[in-house]
Amino acid sequence: MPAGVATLAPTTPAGVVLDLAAVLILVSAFACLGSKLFARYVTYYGIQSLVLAVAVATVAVRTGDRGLWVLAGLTLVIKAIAIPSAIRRFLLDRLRLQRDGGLAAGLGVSLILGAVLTALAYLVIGRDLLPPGVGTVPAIPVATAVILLGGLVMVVRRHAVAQLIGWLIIENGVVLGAVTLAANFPFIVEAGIFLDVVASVLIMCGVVLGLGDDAAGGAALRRLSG
Amino acid sequence: MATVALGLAGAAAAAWLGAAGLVLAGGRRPAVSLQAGLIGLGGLAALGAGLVGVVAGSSESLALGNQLVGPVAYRVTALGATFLTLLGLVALTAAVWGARAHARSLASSAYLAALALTALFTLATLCAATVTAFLVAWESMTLAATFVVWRHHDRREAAWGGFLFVALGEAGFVCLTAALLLLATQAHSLDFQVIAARSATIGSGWRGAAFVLALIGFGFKAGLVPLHLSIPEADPAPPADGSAVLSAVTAQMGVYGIALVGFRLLSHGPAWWGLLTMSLGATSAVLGVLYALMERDWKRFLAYSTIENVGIAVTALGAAMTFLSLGQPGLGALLLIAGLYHVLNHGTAKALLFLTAGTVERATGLRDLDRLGGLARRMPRTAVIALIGTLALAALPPLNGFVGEWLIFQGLFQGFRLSSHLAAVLIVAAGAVLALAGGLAINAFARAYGIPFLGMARSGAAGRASERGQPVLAGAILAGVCCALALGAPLVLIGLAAVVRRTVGIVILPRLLVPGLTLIPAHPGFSSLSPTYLALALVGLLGVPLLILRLARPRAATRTVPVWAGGILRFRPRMQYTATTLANPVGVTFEDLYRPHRDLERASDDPAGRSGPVHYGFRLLPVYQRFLYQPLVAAVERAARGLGWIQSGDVNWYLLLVFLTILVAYVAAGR
Repeated sequence: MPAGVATLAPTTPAGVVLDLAAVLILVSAFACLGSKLFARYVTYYGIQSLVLAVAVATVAVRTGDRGLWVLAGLTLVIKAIAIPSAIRRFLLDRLRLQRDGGLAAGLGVSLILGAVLTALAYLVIGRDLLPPGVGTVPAIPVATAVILLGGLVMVVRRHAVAQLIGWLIIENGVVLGAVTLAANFPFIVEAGIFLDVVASVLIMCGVVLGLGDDAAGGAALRRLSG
Repeated sequence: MATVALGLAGAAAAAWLGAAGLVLAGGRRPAVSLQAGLIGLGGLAALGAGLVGVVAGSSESLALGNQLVGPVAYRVTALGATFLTLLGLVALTAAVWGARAHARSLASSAYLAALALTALFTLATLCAATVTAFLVAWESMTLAATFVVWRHHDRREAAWGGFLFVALGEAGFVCLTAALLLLATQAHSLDFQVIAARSATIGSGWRGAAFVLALIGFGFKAGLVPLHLSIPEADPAPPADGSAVLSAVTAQMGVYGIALVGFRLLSHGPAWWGLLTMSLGATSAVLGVLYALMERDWKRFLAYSTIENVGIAVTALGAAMTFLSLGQPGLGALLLIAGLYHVLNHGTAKALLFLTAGTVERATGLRDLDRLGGLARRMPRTAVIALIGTLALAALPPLNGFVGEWLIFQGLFQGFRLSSHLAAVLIVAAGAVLALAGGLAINAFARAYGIPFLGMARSGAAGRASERGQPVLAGAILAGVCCALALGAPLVLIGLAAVVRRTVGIVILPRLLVPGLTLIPAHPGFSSLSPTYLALALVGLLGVPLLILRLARPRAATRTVPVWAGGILRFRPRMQYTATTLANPVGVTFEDLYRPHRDLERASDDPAGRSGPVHYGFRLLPVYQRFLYQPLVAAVERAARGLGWIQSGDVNWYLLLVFLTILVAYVAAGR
């Protein structure tokens, strides 16, 4: 059994906090999926990132890994504060985005699909998918469900900014799974993923601003054939 | 001796690498002459390496591999050395031509770099001793040669030719990789020597599959019909030195590959391998020359002739495999020698003719046979050189092409010695097909020499042509080599017999070559020939009329009068036969095959005869395009249209596809 995982069993206080955090992250993903306002997307994403920072800090407390502390701090500063405020200032305010009109599926259908995907995540994450000894960590199916929900957001939303949020949710799910599965994850990998996220936000800001609201709203995104 | 060949090959590689690297020195006045010089030096070194390799056999092996890439080794083998000689000769003469022909520009410099790399990777392919080394070198050769084709990338035909070259090259490479990896996994080794030694232990199904795949793969490069589409499009596209390398060397690397697999890696195959190879070769020979005959573009004509000649060489190799398989090693060895001889002859003469066509194109700006004419008077040296190349390639005595093809025919007509009636009939039939191809080739080359060089100039540019300042030397060297290959036929045969002895282990020389410089290919009672004496006698016979003229001429007064010409006051160039007219009888005879499309437009239908300008157009849709490629392309397009709904253009749809893929992966992993 890996050292980090042993200390995160669901019966310990840290395990309970981690499970709770995981559930909150899942709920915020659902909240994004069930919302129609751009401002709410960003708010829910900020909350999700904040909870994720708490989860990472919890694992850091239990394992005493300095790299994880840095990761928790980075998550707090960049994902919970910097990225939401950047999206608000550079995209929502400049393009005057309020209501998201570009839905490929209704909110009800999206939520039902999300529930189905969550159930599927619990079904498919069996013991044999996980490293030996971690089969009892409940956060893993939750992390998988968050990844799938982020993907669903990208599929059912037509607006580029909403798709960006979906992408960021996927990334949060990946980090959640990574810190619970392998607490002694090399920091350099985490730092690389962080760079990717920051770069993708920057690129999306540039692209969306360049496209303008009309095109980013889906008109240009439906003509991507060769 | 053994290390000398490897050392010379290394020197050639270094020279070519240097020539390619010089393009980086670039600047405003690139060192084009220096590049050409290095290519020529490399050619000289490769020529030396080839000759030493032919005489001394396999060199030591240069092993370079590591854990990551597997074993990589290079070695000069006897079989490779035969082609190495040709590569060296062609590179040398191409450089001699190119040094005079190319302007000092960055484009020329980049082109010469691509040409040097092509030669370098061809050398690497010929010396490769492991599967990895061979495949990497082969693929690099294709890529480098593609850039040679793209010298004039702004011209439509060059772009299209380059595309075909690289596309069909990749298709062949896929087959080739499959074949060689199949052999390597079955023999548990990547080393050619080990594969050859263990080939008998591989199951016959695997062997057959590997052989057919290799035949297809090499067939794309060799231009075996119907895999030859790139040859008439790509080979004429670059300047003449590039065309010479592509046609005389690169295309013939396919022949090398077939020989490598058929005689070294997978020796002792069943008879059907040889019969299949032979049929493909014979088909290519006759179709190649038939389409060559209809071609008006000089360089495209030469490219089609490459298909014909490669077909002849492959026919010989296929028949050799059949004879070896059916217990006639002497005849097998003879045909292998003849096939290799033909490769050398064709390479030399084809390089010569491409360089000549390039010289004429430089002097006149024309490649259309129907617009040339009368060049023999304006470019006399070029005309003599071209005549030698034409005679050699049309396989007329006393030149080298005749010796090679004569040996092939002698071998094929021994088919009756086989116990298998089917194989015997097929081999003799292949001989008959080659005879047809040979006859048509004489027609085609009479046309390709007579129209541009004889008669009157058919256009102003042809009438103003001048030889001054044109690169003639390279062709002269090759013409000398053609003569040497004919006069020195016994020497060539000694060399090739050594190659064959080292490749398939059959000693044939004492039977083949008897004292007095005479060849007895099959049986003393059947046929014999002394190419040396034949050549001397034929040239000597030319003196007889001169002698008669000198000794027996009546001493009458000389009178100069105009030729009687049926009442025509003045000959005009347009009264001459054209290339199209000259080919027309064949066109009519083979109309079922050609299915030509003719456009005839007259300005008026005045019954009095003066019809004004007449436009006569003539287009061919080759038979393989009609029955193979057009249906294939149509099927691919239909399938693409059928799958078009996947590419709807909607980003959400694409995301859904990605998402579903991930879901499927999850579910599959979770089960």
